[in-house]
Amino acid sequence: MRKALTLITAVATSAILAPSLQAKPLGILENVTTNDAITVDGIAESSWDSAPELSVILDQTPYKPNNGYEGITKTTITVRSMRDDNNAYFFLQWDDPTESLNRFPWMKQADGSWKQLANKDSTGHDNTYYEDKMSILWNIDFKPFNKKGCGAACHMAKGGKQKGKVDKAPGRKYTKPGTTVDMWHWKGVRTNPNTQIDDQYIDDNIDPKKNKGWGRHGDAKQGGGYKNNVDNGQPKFTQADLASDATVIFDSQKIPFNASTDEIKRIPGIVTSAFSGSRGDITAKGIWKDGKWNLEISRPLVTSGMKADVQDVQFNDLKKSYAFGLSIFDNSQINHVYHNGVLNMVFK
Amino acid sequence: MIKALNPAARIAISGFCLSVLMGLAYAMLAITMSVTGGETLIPSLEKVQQKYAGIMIVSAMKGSMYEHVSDDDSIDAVKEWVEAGAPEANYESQVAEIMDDDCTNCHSVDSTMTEAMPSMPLTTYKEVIQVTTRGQPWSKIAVQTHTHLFAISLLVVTLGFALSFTQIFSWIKYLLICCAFVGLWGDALSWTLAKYFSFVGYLIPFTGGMLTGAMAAMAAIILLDCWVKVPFINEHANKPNT
Repeated sequence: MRKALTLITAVATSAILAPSLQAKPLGILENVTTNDAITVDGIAESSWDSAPELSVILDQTPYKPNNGYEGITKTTITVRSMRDDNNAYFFLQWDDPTESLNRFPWMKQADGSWKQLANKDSTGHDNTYYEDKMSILWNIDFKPFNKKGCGAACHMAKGGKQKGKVDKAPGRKYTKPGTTVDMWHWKGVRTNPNTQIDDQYIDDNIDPKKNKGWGRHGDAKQGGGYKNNVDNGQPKFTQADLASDATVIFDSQKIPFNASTDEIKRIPGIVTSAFSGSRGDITAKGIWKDGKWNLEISRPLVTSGMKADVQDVQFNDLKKSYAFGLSIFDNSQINHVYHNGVLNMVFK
Repeated sequence: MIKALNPAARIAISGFCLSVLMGLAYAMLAITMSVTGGETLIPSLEKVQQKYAGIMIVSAMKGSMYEHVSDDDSIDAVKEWVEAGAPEANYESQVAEIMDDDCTNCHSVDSTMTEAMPSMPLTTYKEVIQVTTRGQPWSKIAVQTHTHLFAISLLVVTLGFALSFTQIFSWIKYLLICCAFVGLWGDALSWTLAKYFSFVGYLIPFTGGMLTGAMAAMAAIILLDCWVKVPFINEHANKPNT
């Protein structure tokens, strides 16, 4: 009887107290090998079934836009990862009830003029005419990231000031001197049509005169990229046979905008082409289906572009664990949904 | 005798006892989380002492806020600064950057982050100095102590009353009831005394353990006595059930 009571007590105590064992890090992503060819198209091949899934609740947001925010404030993101001899692959899925791709479009008005739709808040950022995005931050050598994840690089303004300087933005990202964090920023409008992620990084810059994005930078590039489609208050380019729901103008197909045209009522606000160079290291395709984004990513395990050692995480030691963090943006320029703490990827 | 009550009454008493046992488990979980920040299952004696008798901001950085602290060295730096009298002259060089890196994203009056704490800003020397006192703040102690005494004494007297009708040895009844009340008073008074005598912080796990242990034992005995003979400590251990 005494043994039975002891056993029952032990089991009950373990079951009740188990949730308090909050593991550090928040979650472990196991990267497994694959011999199958992976096509980066946002559709999971059967090989993905063998990759363990890490599920993470995103339920934190950095600020409340003063003109309202209708995006999600909580979602669950799942991530799986595989590798072959040359590349690391990732498949992410997250719930987002709306596919948002209407980023600052130009609309023809009744009087024949053109108006670029926007609804910016007091910080100069939009949450209405924007795009869905996703961001993965990988630590390179910024020690606090290994414990705090993305939050280590996040610095919110206080009293309208950042590091003592007047700043309209609610927050900035930067690291400590001499350290960097790799930032994979998938953009549903600006990079997804080119099957790419915008490969960026965060460094220690806190001087907006040197870089208006403070610590945030794009990786070195040889060419390509996206630009706002604007010229003197009207679109700069359009495209032959432009679909009514087109989200971008492709740089390779652009033609000068002609104000006298009467056939087009809507023109995308972005002209885009694929990055070449380090900024285009990452191939990615997102497909929105049934209230869920499915995003497939491929990147060389080791990159060799210009300044790759400081701008890119290098998966060159498969015995190491790699600290990372995840966030998604629901039709929002900077308001993102993230998690506290850090995630780790290990190679199995 | 409880067993002589009708089944409905025994079901009600059993439900109460189970609720107390579950409540105690979750209370322990809440206390553990508040002390360790979820880092470990069992808090160390030092962490408990820090929470109740330590410097407020240091205790928070070691405990519930630990996940937001970039580096353990930051905790030592803040502690040294406070123990040196929290000089304003050293605030900028020794503390401000730590606050900026780890605290003020949420602890500022205009923070709108999900976990914003605008009511406890830590962006200036004058704000930070408010959380450099030892022990829990008086506002918290006053609320926590009186609610603790009122609510838990009601639970203890209810359990004690039901326990008095069980068939266990009388000396065990006296012991459990006394332990529960002594633990309750010890627990509540320790929060106040720990502000002045830091060693009292080390007693809190024991007074808390005495209280919760006695309550759990009472609830378990009553629960068993409702339906079966309590083994080993029953006054009628060698007699058949009546």
